[in-house]
Amino acid sequence: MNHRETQELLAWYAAGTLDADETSAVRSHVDDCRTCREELDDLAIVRAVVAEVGADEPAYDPAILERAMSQIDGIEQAVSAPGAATRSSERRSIFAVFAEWLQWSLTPNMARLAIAGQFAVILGLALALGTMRTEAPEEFVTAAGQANQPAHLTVVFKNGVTELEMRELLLGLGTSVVAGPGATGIYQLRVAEPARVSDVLTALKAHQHIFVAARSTPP
Amino acid sequence: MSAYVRLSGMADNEDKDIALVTRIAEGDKAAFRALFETYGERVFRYVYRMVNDEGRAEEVTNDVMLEVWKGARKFEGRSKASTWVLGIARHLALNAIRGKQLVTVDLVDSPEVADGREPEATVRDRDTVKQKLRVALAKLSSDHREVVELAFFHGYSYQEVAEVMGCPESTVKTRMFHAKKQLRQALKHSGLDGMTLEAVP
Ligand SMILES: [Zn+2]
Repeated sequence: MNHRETQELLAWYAAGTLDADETSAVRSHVDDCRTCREELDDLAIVRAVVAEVGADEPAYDPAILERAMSQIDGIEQAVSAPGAATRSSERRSIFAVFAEWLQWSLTPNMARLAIAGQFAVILGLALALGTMRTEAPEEFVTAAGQANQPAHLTVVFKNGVTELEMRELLLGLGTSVVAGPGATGIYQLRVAEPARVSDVLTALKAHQHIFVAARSTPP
Repeated sequence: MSAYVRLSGMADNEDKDIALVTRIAEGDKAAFRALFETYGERVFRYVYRMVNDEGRAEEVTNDVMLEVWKGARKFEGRSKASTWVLGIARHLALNAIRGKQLVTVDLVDSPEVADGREPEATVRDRDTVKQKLRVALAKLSSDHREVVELAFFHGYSYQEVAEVMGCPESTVKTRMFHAKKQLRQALKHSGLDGMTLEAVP
């Protein structure tokens, strides 16, 4: 895939919603193109901001559904279309999965809580992370051919994580901060042992204090 | 993070959504409730970001729910249930905008931004970038902004965005390409590019 074609798909690659073939085609170009890699860093930020429910946005009022429940009694349903509503899906989006998770992990009271304030933001972040599919780009830069160089990672901590918590986590994983926090709270990390970089990345991604973690270009 | 682990482990929700719509088509109110306990807020967020008016967004969300109840039998299962619901939401939101001459997303004029004063030191840099991006988002044309919303907030693929918006996939890709260009411009002007130079001692 050439640069122009990649540019067209880059945002979707950042969102993690390309199919496996497109993902690997984009990835192999991105591995060799610094411009595209830098763009991916920006897109990660755009995605995080868009995925967040802003503090100035109104809360969703569950009473809307209650009102609709009381209204549907008197409403006639349209006539059936031929062959309606049966199809098994070949493809399952993370959005659907997230919705499922939301459904079974939140009690009605929690759901109500979720709608107001900070927890809504957390849900937005969960969604942001959730939109990364299994085949999503995990590595913005290939580690191949750099085996002897120290590996670099990019992380963003969640809001409210204390400096002590950050320090304990980073030290525990054998990483050091080489740059940041930048304007968007991004830290560049250096992993002392390149061989361990995948393990470290996995550990970071799974950690409760981490908003986003990815491989990155060395600063 | 536990949510991520759980997400990867779940399956068949798309089928479940389709099953819910099928039951709604049979007049099942519990299925109707279940569908909108899942998607009610999604619909509201989507509509709100289009009409930029809380009261109107609530009305439209209510209308979307009623429309799904009325039209469930017309759902043919060719798309995902959620893109079908958001397609209805989009249609009704556009009607609301046209009908009532609603002022759409005016973040640029909001007091916070129009104020002119630089945020105090209490506002962290990260919020400034966020704010600049939000302003840049607000400046996008509504078609461009919608593609960005659907891709990054709702997590839809370009194929799914094309379904919701009822336009060709190539159009969706082109809109995203231009939106991305404008948004990156905002990041450039926020000084983010110099970030990696601020090494921690
Ligand atoms: Zn390129």
